[in-house]
Amino acid sequence: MHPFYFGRADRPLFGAYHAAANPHSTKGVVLVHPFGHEYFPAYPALQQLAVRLARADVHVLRFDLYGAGDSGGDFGEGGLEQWQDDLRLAVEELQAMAQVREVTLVGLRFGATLAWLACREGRLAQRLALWAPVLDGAGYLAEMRALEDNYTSHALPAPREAVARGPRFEVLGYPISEALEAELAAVDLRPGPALDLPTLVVARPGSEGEVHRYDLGFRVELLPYEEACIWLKNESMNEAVVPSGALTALTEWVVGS
Amino acid sequence: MSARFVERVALLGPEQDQVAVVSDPATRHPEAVGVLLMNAGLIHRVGPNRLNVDLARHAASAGHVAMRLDLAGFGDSAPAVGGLRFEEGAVRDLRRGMDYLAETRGLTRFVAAGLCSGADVSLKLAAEDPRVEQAVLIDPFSYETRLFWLQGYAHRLLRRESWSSFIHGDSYIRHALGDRVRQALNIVPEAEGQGAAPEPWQQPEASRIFECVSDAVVKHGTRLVLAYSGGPAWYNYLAHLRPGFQPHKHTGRVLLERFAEADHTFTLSYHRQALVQAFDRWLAWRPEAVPSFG
Repeated sequence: MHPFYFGRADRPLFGAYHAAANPHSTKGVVLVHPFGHEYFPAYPALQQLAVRLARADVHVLRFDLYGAGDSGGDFGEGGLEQWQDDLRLAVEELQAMAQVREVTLVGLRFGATLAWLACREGRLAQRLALWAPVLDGAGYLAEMRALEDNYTSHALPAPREAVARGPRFEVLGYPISEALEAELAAVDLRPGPALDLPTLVVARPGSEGEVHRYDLGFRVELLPYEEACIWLKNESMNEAVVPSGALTALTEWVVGS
Repeated sequence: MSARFVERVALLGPEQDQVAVVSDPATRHPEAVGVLLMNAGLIHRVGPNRLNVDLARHAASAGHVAMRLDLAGFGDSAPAVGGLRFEEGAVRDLRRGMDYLAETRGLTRFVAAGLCSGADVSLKLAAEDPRVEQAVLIDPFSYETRLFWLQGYAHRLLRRESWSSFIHGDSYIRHALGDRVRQALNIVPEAEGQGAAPEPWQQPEASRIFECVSDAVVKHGTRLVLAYSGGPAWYNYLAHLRPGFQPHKHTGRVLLERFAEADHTFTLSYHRQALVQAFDRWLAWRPEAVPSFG
């Protein structure tokens, strides 16, 4: 694994490149993390996915969006347009590093949504894997508000001052700016337009990802996901869940193209 | 990146497979130190809610050099080989970080700062390596006293969820009471013998903690900052620390602070900001200026 910074000097992005076991492979994957509070719990699983893909002869680039992880900036400075630009840069970086000709974007939660949005804007990748994608931005905001309310009401020792003096709206420590809130509220992948791109949707049975999968593209396959919601905050910092079944299936789908 | 600092990846260890990020200041403080930040639990080097990133960038903006690193087997670092115990391996990894900053940045003095398990490791490092002139221990160890248990049970008894669990048979207190009764009656639980249950995390013994404190503070002259959140109740019984630290009081080298409104990982940005501001003060703290224990 080769960790490095890339992108503009005033907007550095952290990347971790996993070279394919076969260096001549022309297949590549860019992994897009969930954002905000869902980033940390999912980190070990995406790291393991990168390792498995690399062993299966796929070049992989994991990277942190601006304002996330080791990348520059604060989360509150993030926005959907810039994050899609970050994703485009990551794809270019992987293509330049490993002579990759066939790129698959694999995104988890809002990372999947970003990947879909970036592909809608232009031909960024040859294939798309959306793992538990967020299709309805307004619903996602409502979900985050409920999460924050529950946290401040039940988990904080004495929440009043911090909530009153903190940012206008934050979710488990991640401030959502007014601009980002408006952008999120406008995200709705359900009515299409569908992408003409081989797409895998990994979703829990009955979830919005499964129910609306046909809105996401003309060529969608569904992989039912019945393992843990690894993106939800774990109370313990000493446990991590790696959903082995989903990682195996995703790897097989990417390699089997 | 901010004009006040620049960040670069550093690879440590003989195999260059231990990952760290170094934040270099644009302008070095005349008394610059190397600030080491590490994993809290299993969370990778950025820390819970990017706490280590905030602390590193703040330290670098103040002219210090900060390194946040993944210990072997954590985050992006490769697992260790050689069969060392966790704490021993962690001390070895942090020493590699100090050696790297000494070789590449010419630093000779260091501050080790960590949350939870990172705090325990920071203390261990300070006890073993005199280059650590200050250790910032955020929600570090605790140890068991009568009041420790009283506070822990009182916390549970005051929670509505505890009573609900008790009624539904899934309560810690109910299990604890059951265990005591079974022990008294010499009854072996049914599950025993069907496979070993994982060993629960053990509170470090007070004697071991104070041995480390003694080595760090008395032998090496290390300054210790102990910062406690209002998170898990067993972390917040400040009074029980006093008797153990009393012998060091005259040295003025132990500082206790409490962030009673914050949770264990300083989740809210307001609380992280308060911690980061305090971190600024701690980096500038000299024992003559601030009395211990308020």
